[in-house]
Amino acid sequence: MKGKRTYEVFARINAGEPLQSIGSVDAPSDEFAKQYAKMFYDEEDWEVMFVVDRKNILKVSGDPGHEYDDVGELEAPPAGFTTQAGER
Amino acid sequence: MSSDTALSSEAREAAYDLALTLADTEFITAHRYSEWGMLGAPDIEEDIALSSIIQDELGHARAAYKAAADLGDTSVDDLLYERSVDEWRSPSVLDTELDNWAEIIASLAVLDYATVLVFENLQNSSVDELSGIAEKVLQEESQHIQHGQVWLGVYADEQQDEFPKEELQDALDSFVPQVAQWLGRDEGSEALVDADAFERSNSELREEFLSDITSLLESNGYDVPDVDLEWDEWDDSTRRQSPPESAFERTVDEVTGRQHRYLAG
Repeated sequence: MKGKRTYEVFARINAGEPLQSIGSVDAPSDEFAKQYAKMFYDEEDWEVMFVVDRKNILKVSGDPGHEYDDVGELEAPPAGFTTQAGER
Repeated sequence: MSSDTALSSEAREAAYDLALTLADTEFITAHRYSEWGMLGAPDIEEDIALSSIIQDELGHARAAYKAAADLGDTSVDDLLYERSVDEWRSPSVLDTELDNWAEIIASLAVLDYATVLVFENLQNSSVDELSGIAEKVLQEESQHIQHGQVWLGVYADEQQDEFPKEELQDALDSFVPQVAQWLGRDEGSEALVDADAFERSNSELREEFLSDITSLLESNGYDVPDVDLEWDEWDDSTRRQSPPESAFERTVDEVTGRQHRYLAG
C-alpha cells in the first residue's frame, strides 16, 4: 500500500517492568500499525503494547544519519530564543 | 470428559454436524487464504498478516476436528483422510479459489464474522466439546474481522486508485447472500437449542448478521446486496444446497496432503 510510515513498537511482558522496544512496523495508517504490531509480534502474551508513529518521536541528541530521518521536529524556536548556550 | 452423556442422540448428532461443518469451514478458509498468502498479498506486511491469520484458522480447524471426532466417535485422521469429497461441508462460497484480494477481504469481514456469531453462540453450550473451542477462536477471529473492516475503508477511499471499490463491492455482492444462507434455518438449530447446546436459533443469528453487516457496509459507503434465501435443496447438517462436486477433490487432496500420507509412515 502507498503512503506507509514506520511505527516503533513498545511492549512489556509483566506489569511494572520498563517498556521494551521490540521492533517496528511499516503501515499506511495508525489502525493498520496496531493490527500489524499485534499480529507480527505475537511471540509473547504482552501485558501491554504500544505503537508510536516515528513522526511523534523527538530527537534529543545524537546523529543517527538517515536511519531516523523520519522522526518529528520541534517547531523553530521564537526569534531571540537561544537553543544552546553560547549561540546567538 | 464430557457432561453431555444425557444428550439425546439427535442433539449429539447435531452437535457433531456443527463441529464438523465449522472444522471444514476453518480448514478450507485457511487453504483458500494460503493460495494468496506469501504470493499474492499486496505487500510484505499483508503477506505476514495473512500468514498469521492462516495459522489461526488452522488452529481453530484442529480444535473443531477434535471436537467432531469426539462427538462422532471417530478419529481426526478418519475425518481428514477417509471422507469422500461429497462428504465435505465447507461453505459453497469457498468451493473454488478466491479470485482476488478483494475476495479475501470480503471473506475476512463477512464469513469470519458469521463464524464468530456461531462460536459466540457456543460459549455457554451444554456440550463441552463445543464450548471448549469457542474461547480461543473468538479472541483470534475478532482480529481477522477487524483486519477485514479496516480494508473496507481502504477500498472505499476515493483518494486512491490502487484498490478499486467496485472490486470489493462485487466480492461483497457474492459473499453476503451466500454467507447469510450458510447461517441456516431454524430446522437446523432446533435440536441444539432444545438441548441448550446452542443459545440462539439460526434465524436469530442471521438477523443479527444482516443487521451488523448492513451498518458496516453502509458506514463505509457500500451498497447492501439483496439476500434471497433458498431452502428447497438445503441440507441442514452440511449447510449446503448440494455436496461439493468432484472438482473439489483436488482441494481436499491439497489441503490434507492425503495422497502423500504414506510418507508419514
